[in-house]
Amino acid sequence: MSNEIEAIKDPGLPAHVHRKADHDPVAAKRAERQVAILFGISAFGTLLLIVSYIFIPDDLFVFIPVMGDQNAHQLGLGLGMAISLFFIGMGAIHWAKTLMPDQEVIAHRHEFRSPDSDRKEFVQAVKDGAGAAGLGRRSLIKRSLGAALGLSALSPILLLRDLGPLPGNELEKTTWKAGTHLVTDPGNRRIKASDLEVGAVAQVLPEIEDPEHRHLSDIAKDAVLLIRLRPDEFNLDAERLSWTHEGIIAFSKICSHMGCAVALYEQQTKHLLCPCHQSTFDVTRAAKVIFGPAARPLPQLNITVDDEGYLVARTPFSEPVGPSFWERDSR
Amino acid sequence: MTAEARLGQVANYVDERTGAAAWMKKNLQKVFPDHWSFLLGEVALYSFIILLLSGTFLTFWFDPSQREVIYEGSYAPLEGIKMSAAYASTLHISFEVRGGLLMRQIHHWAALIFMAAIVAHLMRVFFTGAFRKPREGNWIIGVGLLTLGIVEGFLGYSLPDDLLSGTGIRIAEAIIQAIPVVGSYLAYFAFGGAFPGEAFIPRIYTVHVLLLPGAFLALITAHLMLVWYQKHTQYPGPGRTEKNVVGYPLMPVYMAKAGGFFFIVFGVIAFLSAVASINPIWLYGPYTPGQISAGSQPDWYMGWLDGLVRMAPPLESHYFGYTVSHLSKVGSQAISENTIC
Repeated sequence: MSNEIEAIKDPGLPAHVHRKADHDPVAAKRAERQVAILFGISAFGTLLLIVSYIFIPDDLFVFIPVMGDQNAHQLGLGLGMAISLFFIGMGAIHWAKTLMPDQEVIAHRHEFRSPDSDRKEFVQAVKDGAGAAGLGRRSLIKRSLGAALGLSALSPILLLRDLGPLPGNELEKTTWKAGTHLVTDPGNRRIKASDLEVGAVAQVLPEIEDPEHRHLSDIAKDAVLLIRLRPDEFNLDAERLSWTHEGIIAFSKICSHMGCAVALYEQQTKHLLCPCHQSTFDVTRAAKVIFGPAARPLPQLNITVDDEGYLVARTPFSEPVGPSFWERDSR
Repeated sequence: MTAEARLGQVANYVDERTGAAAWMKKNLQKVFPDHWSFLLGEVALYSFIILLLSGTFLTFWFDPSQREVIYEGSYAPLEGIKMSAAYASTLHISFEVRGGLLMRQIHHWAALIFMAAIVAHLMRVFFTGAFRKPREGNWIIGVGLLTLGIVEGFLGYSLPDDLLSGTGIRIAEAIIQAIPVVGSYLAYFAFGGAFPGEAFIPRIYTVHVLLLPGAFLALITAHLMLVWYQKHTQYPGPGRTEKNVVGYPLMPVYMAKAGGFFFIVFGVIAFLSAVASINPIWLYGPYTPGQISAGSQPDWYMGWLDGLVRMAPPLESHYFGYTVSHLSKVGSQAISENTIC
């Protein structure tokens, strides 16, 4: 017995099996009718779309099991369009599968590699061309061209300069100043400590002259969250404790990670959770990060009350709010 | 005259004016192998065409502006609320333009299916080794299309300026800001000043409807030309060798099958859009930086980037009074990994 393994010879394509419609005219006629029916269903879909567009009012709701209340106008338009398109496709494919040739055809792949003589001449032509231009010898031209091309790339960069102003120190500043009143958002009403019960949370903004025209870019830095705990629940050093007022503590609402609004307060655990990337801050410990990707606590706003008992900022924020940037602790 | 005779006349007409007979004959009889997994790339191509059609429809009403307006449309819960013109016009498309909501849903569903089809198609190509010589170039183009798709998708769902998408833009701004040395400058240039400003949505609109679709069209054209010229790969089997292609001719079988499949993809997307609500921006409300909704998540194809942002260790380095956020390191890592692909 020989140990040599013989390659199995390519048996070639399996014998072609004819479909019924290939030799039976009745089956072929039936397939033709089926295709026509599929196209007919598509036309019905278009009709449904037209009827829905014209006759179904756009405030009519219908109850459909599983899906619940659905807007009949939208549903009719959508289903009509879906039927009209889907069944054109089904018809075309059924046509191809039953009536068009199903005998597989063999085509040859051409070899990408050119004949050796052509390849040789091609390589030579490239070399000759480069040589004729003196690419190898004239290094002064090569280098000055490289420098010129590189420098010309500066013009679009320069021309894009006016896309925006320079940031200056805007990122470090907020509207909060010593004595700025805390006002509700929405509402723009000043608030007293007694407005907040223990366990309550409120979003506040700095009071400005024209609250109707408050800029979103200001809210993006000014938003502050007030949380009221029992004073004995805090675990703060003396300085930070003095920044609170009767158990009310104020933090920047703008996440120190990526600037999302840190809005989820868990009353039982006294944790603040950012819904974007799950950074979790412990309110009792001055918003220390206890979980997640944030690298810094939320900046705490130093608050007190004015003569009339309204909450005010005692000082501006002592550090920039929001996500990190290069110059953050340079000023 | 029969249909065949008439089409024959058309062929005659074309050749007398172009001399394309030999080329046309060869290509009309071009053979394509048949396998269900070869449809994945087709799904991506057809979704792209659907995106162009539905997107064009949306541009007729969408107002890419962050100018502040007071909503006075037919959606009662937002009556009298301040919002950007972009958000208001998206509500207008959803509630007052007949079929507008359907087109929005088709556009968003088609985008999701476009991305899913690209991922599945790339996996098919990867696991069958179809990326190997001579098709390396086409693999690179495919990965480029995936990357463009991620950016295009992000810009697209950021346009309505609702609470969810505005939060996504905020995160993009924070990532730009974290770039060492020039971050805050780049952020101010991109947003035309302090975030959110009024410049960003008009700018990304131009990128979303002009720049990137143009790049898509160019790359897809190159992709298809290469597939055509290099011939499709096929699975092994009796009679199928490295040197041949076994399948059906373009005309008529693939014209009917591929043309029909376009309508099937469009029909399925229309069906999904009719019954499965996606991105109901009217429930989110207009964007304001001080608010957020629970579980703010991007579309699924952004998930790996969102995951990287979450996994980044909570570290920050401070050198000589300057801050290096480790976000930027994650970013450069993501970019280099993507380039290696």
